[in-house]
Amino acid sequence: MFDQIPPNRPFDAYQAFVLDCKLNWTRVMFPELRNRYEASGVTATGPEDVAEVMRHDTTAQMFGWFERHLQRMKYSGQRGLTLHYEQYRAEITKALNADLPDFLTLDADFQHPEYYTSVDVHQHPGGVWSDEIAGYIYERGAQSTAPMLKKSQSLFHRMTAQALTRAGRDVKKVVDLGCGWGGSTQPYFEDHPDIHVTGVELSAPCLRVAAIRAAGLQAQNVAYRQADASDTGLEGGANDVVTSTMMLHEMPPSHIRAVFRESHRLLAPGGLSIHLDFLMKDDPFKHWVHNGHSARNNEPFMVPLNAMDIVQAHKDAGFDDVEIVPFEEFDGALSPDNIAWRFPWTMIIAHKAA
Amino acid sequence: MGMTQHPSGLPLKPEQTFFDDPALDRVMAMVMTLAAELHVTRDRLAIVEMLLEAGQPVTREALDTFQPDPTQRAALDTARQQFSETLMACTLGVEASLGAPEGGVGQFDKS
Repeated sequence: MFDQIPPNRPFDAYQAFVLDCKLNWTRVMFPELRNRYEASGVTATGPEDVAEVMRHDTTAQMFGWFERHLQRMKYSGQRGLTLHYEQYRAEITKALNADLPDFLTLDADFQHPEYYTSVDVHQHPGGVWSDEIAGYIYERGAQSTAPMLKKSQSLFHRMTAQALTRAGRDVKKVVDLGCGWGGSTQPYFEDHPDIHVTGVELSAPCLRVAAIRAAGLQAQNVAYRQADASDTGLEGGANDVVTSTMMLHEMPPSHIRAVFRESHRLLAPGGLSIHLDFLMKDDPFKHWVHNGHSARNNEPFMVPLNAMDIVQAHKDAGFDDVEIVPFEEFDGALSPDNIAWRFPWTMIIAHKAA
Repeated sequence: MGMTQHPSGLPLKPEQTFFDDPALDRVMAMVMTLAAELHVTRDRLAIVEMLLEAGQPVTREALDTFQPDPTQRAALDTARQQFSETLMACTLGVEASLGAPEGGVGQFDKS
């Protein structure tokens, strides 16, 4: 495992400081930005109207700067994740290559999609695919992406509970598309020994971390597979649940439609397709902030995802009934009293005809 | 701190800026780099004081691997949070005291 990496107080202090600033951005700067927009008295019909009102607002400029640069500092600052863990490359690499479990299937000839290698998503230098320790760094950094979440793990457990409740059947087989370092896969194999879950992911560095974590938990009911979520190579018609968490906004609409078709193909009759992602349409101010986040955090496909007709795309993929439902990532997240910034978490739910 | 060549071979994108004068974007980056390093230094100084108060040796390794007890952690967290709050408050442009009326002070002149 990775226990040869020693504690480093200066690194921890730096990262905690950056996170504190991000929390302030979330809880103080965002509500103040909204106050300033509302004080303008403009009734916007879309994000473009808000952008015009706020174009020269100093707080809006600060808000944008801090969103982009706090994330840059987290990864690429003087005590950022990439520089810090570079010191321990040998130890991390050794752990990543030692006794990989046989439930991990990597494809040495795998060709990443062009859209995936053309953007360093989340401002992770080189993306999460090009460096063998990138998956480990991504996992270490995931705790502060959405700082209102105390532990990203709780979000994954909540999503798992949603899927299993909404499946409406005895779930035995699950496919977790775009599983990353396994955070979304772990609740299935750890808490539900009767379920077999297969995590599918483009990034070999992420899959190695996922598999090592699962092996450390002595999991017997999980498989990880390097493949494209739109063409998994898995057996069709055989799964009770097909799911993804924060994957759709990382790909272009053509790929999203292909993922919906693949979800339908993978499901057994009556099976559940449930994707957790970000959709924001009804609030011009938040829509403007959301579009801005897409650019500022190097997640450019958030905007075209948000513009898609998701229901029609599901129907084109073979699904009949489609629900778009807000997702509460922590208790009280959807309350009107919560005025802090948050991602517009949304579940996209459909069943394959029985 | 950045890459000179992306692994994909693609050229890096142009600088993303937010202020009317892009020089401000770069000065802000310098300010935050310094602020973060100041915090790290303040944190290290506080740990030096904690070690001295406990009669423990102050070595580079002791400082780098310091694990605070709950009381020490609370003190270090509070210091960090106060500093970050003070720093971030500067972004909002909120006055700390009541200034003169925008229409001037003639209204107060009773002569």
